[in-house]
Amino acid sequence: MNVIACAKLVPTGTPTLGPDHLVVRSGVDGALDPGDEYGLELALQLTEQHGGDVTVVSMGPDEAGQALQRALAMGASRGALVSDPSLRGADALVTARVLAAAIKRYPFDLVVAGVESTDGYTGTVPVTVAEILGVASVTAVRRLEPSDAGARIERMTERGYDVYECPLPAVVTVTAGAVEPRYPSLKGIMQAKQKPIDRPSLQDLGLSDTKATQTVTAVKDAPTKAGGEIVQGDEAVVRIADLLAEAKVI
Amino acid sequence: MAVTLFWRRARARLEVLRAARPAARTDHPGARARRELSHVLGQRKLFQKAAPGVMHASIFWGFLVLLPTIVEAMLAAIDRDWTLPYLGHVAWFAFLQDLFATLVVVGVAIAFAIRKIQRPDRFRGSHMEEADRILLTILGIVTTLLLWNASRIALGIPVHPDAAAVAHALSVLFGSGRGTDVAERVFVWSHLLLVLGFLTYLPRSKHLHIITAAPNVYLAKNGPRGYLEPLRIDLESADADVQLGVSVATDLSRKQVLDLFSCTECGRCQEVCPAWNTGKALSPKLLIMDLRDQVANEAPLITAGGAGIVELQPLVPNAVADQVVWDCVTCGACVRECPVDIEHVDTIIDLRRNLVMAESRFPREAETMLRGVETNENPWGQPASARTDWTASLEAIRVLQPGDPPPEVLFWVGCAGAFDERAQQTTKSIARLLTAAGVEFAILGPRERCTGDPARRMGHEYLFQTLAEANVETLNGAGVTKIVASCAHCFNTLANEYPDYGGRYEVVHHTELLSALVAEGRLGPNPAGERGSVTYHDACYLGRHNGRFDAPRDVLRAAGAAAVEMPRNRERAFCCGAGGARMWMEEKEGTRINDTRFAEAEATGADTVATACPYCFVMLDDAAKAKGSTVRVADVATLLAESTLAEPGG
Repeated sequence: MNVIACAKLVPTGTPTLGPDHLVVRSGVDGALDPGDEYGLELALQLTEQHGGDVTVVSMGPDEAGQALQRALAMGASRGALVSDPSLRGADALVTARVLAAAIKRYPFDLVVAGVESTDGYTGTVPVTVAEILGVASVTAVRRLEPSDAGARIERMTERGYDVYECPLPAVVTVTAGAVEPRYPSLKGIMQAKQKPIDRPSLQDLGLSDTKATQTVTAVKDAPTKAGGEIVQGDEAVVRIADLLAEAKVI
Repeated sequence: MAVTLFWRRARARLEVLRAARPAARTDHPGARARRELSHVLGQRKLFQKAAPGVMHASIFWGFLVLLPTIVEAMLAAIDRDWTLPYLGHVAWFAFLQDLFATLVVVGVAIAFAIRKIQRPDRFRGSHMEEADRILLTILGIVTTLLLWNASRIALGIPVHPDAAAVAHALSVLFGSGRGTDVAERVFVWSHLLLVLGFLTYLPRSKHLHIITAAPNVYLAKNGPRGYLEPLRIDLESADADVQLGVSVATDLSRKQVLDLFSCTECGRCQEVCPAWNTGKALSPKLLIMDLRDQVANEAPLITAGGAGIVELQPLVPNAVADQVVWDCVTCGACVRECPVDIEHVDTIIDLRRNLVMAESRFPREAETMLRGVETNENPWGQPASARTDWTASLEAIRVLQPGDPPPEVLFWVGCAGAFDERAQQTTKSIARLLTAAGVEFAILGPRERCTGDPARRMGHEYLFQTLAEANVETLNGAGVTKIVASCAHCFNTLANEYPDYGGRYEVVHHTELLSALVAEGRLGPNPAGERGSVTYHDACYLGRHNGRFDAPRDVLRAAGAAAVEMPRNRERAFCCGAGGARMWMEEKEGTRINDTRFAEAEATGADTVATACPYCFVMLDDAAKAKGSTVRVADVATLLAESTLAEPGG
């Protein structure tokens, strides 16, 4: 089973917005999105058990190579990074177009991604990718096993989980906690340096119009909440219990 | 024949040693020779226990004095009238021979009394029958010697029969007739056969220590025991075959292999180990024995080289279980206690290095710490900007900006001191005291990073290395010359380990600086203040690892505290349970180390337990809270602040 894992570089601290209302990415420490690690881990476990390999695909500035290195250190076989200045400020639709075009370059049975990125939080890119690729998609996956029909998938719901039989190839998003992402060994980090990273241009991908369909025109802060109380010290537990009782929660 | 057999068996061991990684342990020969005199000839570490010390010294000194006797017996075995030139003719040697042979008998008797009557728990897991065999052989060797001398006296051979009082007394057992002639031959031959038989038995027994202990002591670590030897990792030029710590037998250094062949299974390490004493799987003695057994079993493969090496099994989990490696708090009590200077902790760290860096195999809960250090440069995973949060309630604390002139003293706050709410009390107390004493100091604020200690003790040498290099660059760039650290772990790393990375500073612990300020009169604590009784808990990385015992006690005394000591104090203090990155791991087996130590502190009847390291503080304070105890846990600096400042704050 060949799996493509989507990966994104996100700022390690709280993301800040520039004057153009875009997340500031240059000069900011970044790391592989922790949300993506779940998808990647699931992909690695599937290929370890059933054969095949994992390709990691990312779109972003040159620094996004760090996120790919991390994914390669965890055990992915190769990476693909689409980096083009014209993609700065790309919205979810453009991002999905780019990722889908990049994914199509490799044979795949499954595409995995995090449920949503931890800086943009749209949660729409993976399903859009599925639409563009013309394959099925299942979100919020907690378990996936190959089956006769393709894959048997457990999807998280509020009450428990649904079980799907889904044809492959498909795109799935993996929930946090579904698997325990591995901590890469130093051996893995060293081996990652030898692994190939493709850098297809937009031309290679056959994309010409990558102008964002949406732009953020204004950003308003939420009104600050008033009347909060910071509970500290040795009596904190008692005070919190009282407050909860007052609120009739307990 | 015996000598050939001995040599063949000893050479098998030597070849295992030769196949091991070379260890650069020959610097400062003077210091090493002095240690040889005190630890080996002087038996200093053996005398850390009275009766076993007397026992061992009697046998050891006896062994030294009686060495020429073996040659004497060989000569006499060939011809009854042959003896050693000079030594065979002088009264003083006859006297010494007789005295020390008797002392060995006494030593063996004490050894049996300890083993059969006292039966200390430290022998649990040791080979007791092998020890009995060895002791009985020694007894046989000296008894035959005494009886041989006695029969010679009866035959009128020795020139100075009166010099050997014991043999002389025993000579009444013999007449001067034909029977004694035969007895004399029987004793000299049985003495020699026992000696030679023992020689062939040595290389494969734990008694090999009579050969390996002296070089092992010589090759022991010089300087502070908290120092770890670096494992340089260059990711850019490294090939995938770089050795990351110890996986199989041939990865061990020569010192580490010699350690294994030096162990006599005395169990002094086991007796003091915080892990073993609280019901964990780790015993430093069993660790060494288990590693030794695998290395000995694999000796033919090791010395065969090539294909043999390929077949070697990883030491973890084959010789020792994973959990054993993770149980260690790196407190160094075992190393301190070991009479032959085995370095258990360094071997454990090397095993961890391989598990973490090559296999990524470690207790999962510690991943939070590693990720925090990796991403945010502190184990708490807090943003760097929060490092100065504790300064909010204080008058201006100078944060050293790039390009600023260096301060007289840089206050290294440490991650615990900056982020842990309880440890912040200590940080504020130190800052207030330094301000009151007029010390010109500054902090690095957001430019300070974890020193890398928890990552290093966890086995992630590469992560430590990146932090050490980054911190050294910051410190050197700022022109820092003197550092005061409040965390014992930061103190150890900055003082002992950063020089390897180009960072050389005068590093003092806050208790040392505060003690000096009190002595100079720059701080005026009120000794009449009602401080109650205080017991001081030695931090391993301040005390045992770095020999700083007095400064914290001096500060407490100046602050008016009535000091009471716990039974295990100073060099022999019992760890709080947080060292060796244990702070970041769950303690599931047995009882909790911090509860054990706190109970010991509470039993002194002291009102306050004073600490000098934020890890100890948090661990003991947790134990106090869990127990609902009224005993207060506070840092030495906080107690001094309360005695010195009008508004000590908190």
